[in-house]
Amino acid sequence: MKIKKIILLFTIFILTGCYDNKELNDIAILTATEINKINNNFIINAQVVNPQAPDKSSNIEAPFIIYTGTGKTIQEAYRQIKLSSSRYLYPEHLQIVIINENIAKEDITQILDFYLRDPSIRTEFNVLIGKDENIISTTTPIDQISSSSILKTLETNNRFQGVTNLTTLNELTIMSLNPNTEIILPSIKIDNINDESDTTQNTDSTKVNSMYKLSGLAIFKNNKLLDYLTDNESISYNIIKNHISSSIITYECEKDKYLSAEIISSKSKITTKNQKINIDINIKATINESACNLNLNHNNNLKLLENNLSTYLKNNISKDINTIRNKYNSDVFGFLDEIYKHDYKTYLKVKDNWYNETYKTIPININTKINIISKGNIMEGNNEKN
Amino acid sequence: MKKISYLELSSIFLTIIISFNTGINICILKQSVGVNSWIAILISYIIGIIPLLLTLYISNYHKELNLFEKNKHLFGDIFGTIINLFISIILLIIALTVLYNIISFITTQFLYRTPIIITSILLVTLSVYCSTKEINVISHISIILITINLIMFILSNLSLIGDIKLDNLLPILKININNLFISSIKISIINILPIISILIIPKDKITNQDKYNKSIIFSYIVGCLISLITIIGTIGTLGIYLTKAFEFSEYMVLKKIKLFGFLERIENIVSMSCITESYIYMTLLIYTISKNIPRKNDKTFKYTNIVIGLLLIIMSNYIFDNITVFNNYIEKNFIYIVSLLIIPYILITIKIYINNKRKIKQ
Repeated sequence: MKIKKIILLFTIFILTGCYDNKELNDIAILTATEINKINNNFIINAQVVNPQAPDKSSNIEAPFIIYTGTGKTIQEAYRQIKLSSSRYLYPEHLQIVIINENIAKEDITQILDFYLRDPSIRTEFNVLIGKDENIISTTTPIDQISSSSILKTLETNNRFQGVTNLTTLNELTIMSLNPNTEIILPSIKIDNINDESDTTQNTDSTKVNSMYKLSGLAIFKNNKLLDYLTDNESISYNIIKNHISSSIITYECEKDKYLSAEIISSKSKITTKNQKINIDINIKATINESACNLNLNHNNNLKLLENNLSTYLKNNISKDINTIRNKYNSDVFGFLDEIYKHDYKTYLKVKDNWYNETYKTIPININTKINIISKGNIMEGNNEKN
Repeated sequence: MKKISYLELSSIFLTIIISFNTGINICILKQSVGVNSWIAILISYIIGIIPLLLTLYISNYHKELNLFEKNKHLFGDIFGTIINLFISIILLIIALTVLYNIISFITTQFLYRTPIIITSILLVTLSVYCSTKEINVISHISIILITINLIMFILSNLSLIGDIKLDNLLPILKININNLFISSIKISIINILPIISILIIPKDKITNQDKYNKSIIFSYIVGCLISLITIIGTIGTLGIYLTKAFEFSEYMVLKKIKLFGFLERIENIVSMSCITESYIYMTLLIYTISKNIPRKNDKTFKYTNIVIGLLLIIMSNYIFDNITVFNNYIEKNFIYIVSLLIIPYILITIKIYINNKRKIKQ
C-alpha cells in the first residue's frame, strides 16, 4: 500500500501539463494580424494586447502593440517577431486577419494553408481584404483595441446596413476549395491616413483624423482578387446569399422625393431546374421615412407601394447580377454549386463550359416579395395629404 | 466473478462499436464516398447485423463459459488454443490501433510538443490498472463514462442543429456504387467485427439473462444512430471540402458548439468523450487478451496485463512514425487484419451448429 501511495503522489508531480504548458505571464495575446507581401517576402503586422492596463486618465501607454516580422513564409515572419517580443504570441484569441490586396491579387492559398495547419489557432476568426497598409495599427475611439473595433463594426454593418458580411476562415476555405464557387470577402481601407494614425493623438480630438472604413465586397476568381463590388452590388449579393439581417431600400417614389424602407428580415432561396436559375426573395420591411405624397393608411396604397418596392428591388438585383456576371465572370453566387447539388445531370453537361458559355447566358428568374409590416409610429405623415 | 447488469453490458458493447467514430471512420469515408458517408454508415450497420447475430448465437452456447473457454471446449486444447491465440493477436492489434488513434488525436490537437511516449504511458497505465480488476469494475466505469458521454453528445449535437446545412449532404448517390459498398464493408469490419470481444463476458454473468439479446440489439441501434449523427453533423456543418481538409474534422465541428446560447469554447470538454471511449475499449481489450493467457494466480494476471501494456506502449512508439503512416496502415493493413476475425466467427458458429445438431439427434 505504501508503494501505491508513493506512486500516486509521484504522479501528481509528473502530470502538470506536460511539455505544452504556457504560463499567463509568458504569453502575449494576439488579436489581429495583417499580412502583406513585398518583393516575395511576407510582412506580418501582429497586434498584441498591451497587458499593462492603460491609465485612462493619462493614456501613457497604447492599448495595443504592433509587432512586425518578415519572412519567406508566414511562419518565418511570425517567428521574426520573437526578435523583439519578450513573450510567446498566443493565437487562440485571434479575432481578425487582414490580407493585403497585393497578396490577394496573387494567391491566398498559402495563407489558408498556414492557418489551417496550426492546431493552436481557432479557425473561426474573420478574414478581410485590406486596401491599405497598417490598418490594424490605426488607433480607434470607443473600442480601444482596433481589432475589436473592426470586428464590432463588421457585425454592426452586417446587422444594420448589409454592405459587408462576416466571413470566417472556415467559410473562406470552403469557398476556396469548392471548385463550383468563387471567393468573396469583406474589405477595409483607411480614410485620411497620416503620421498620427498609429498614435493615441489620433483619437484625442472630437473628430478622429484617421479612421478605418469598411467598403464593398472583394470579388475573386480562381483564388485571385479581381476587384471590389459597389455598396449596392454588395447588398444585392448579401440578399441573394442570405447574409443579411437588415438593410435600407431607398426608393424614388416621386421625382426627387424618396422613401426609406428598412428590411427587417430577408430570406432568399436559389433553386435550379432545366438549366434555369430561380431566386425567390421574401422580405419583411418597415417604412422608416417618406417624402412621398402617398397615404399609407389605405390598403391599396400600401399594396401598390409593396409592388413598386418589389419591382424596384428585383430590377436592382437583376442589374447587379448581370454586372457581376458580365464584368467579372465570377460565380460568387454559387449557381454552379446549386446545379451540382440539385440537378446533377445538368451539372455534368455544363461544368466544363461554365464560364465560357453557360454562366453569362443562363436565364435567371428573380421573384421578390416585399411585405410591409409597419409604417412606423405615426398615423399620417406630413406628406400624406391626399 | 461478480455479475454485471444488462445496462452495463450495453455500455461496454456501445463503446466497442462507436470507439472508431473519431478519426478512423471519417478518415476512411471522406475520401472515398464524400457526402454519401452517411449512406455508407447505414449500409455498414445493415451488413453488421450478420456478425451481431453470430455473436448472439455464440453467446448462447454454454452460457457459463467465456469466449476462450468455449473455443477450447469446442475444438479441444490444441486447436482451441490456436484459435484463441489468433483472436488474441488480432485483438492486440486492435488495441494498438485504438491507442495510436487516440494518441494521434491528443498530440495533434492538444499536446503537440509532448512526446507520444508520455501520452501513451498515461493512457496505457490507466487501462492496465483497470484491466487488472474484474469485469464488474470495468463495466461500472464503462456505464458511468458512457452516461456522461451520451449526455454531452446529445447536448452538443442539439446546439449544432442550427449549423447543419442539409444541402452539404447533396448530391445523393452520384458516386461509384462499388466504392460505397466497399467503404460500407470496411466500416462494418472495423466497427462491428471486434464485438467478438464482448463474448469474454459469459452470458450467465449477466443479472437479467433474458434481456441479454435485447440490450445488445438496443446498443447496436444506439451505436448506429450515434455514428450517423456524428457523420451527418460533421459533413452537414463543415461541408465536405472542410471535412476533407482537416485531420480530425469531428473535433473541428465541436468548435462551433454554443451551448444554451452562451457556453462557447467547450470543444475540449466534449472531446473528452472520445478519449474515455478509447480508454474503456482498450481496457476491455487488454482484459480480454490477458484472460487467454494461462495463469497461476491473480498476481500473474496483473503481470500479464502489465506486459501487454508495455507491449502496446513500445509498439505505438516504434511502429508508427507519424499520422500519415498510421492513416496508410488503416487503409492498407488494419482493415484486412480485422477482417480475419471472420474466420473464428465462422469456425465457432459451424462447430456450435454441428454440436447442437448432434445433441438433438442424441
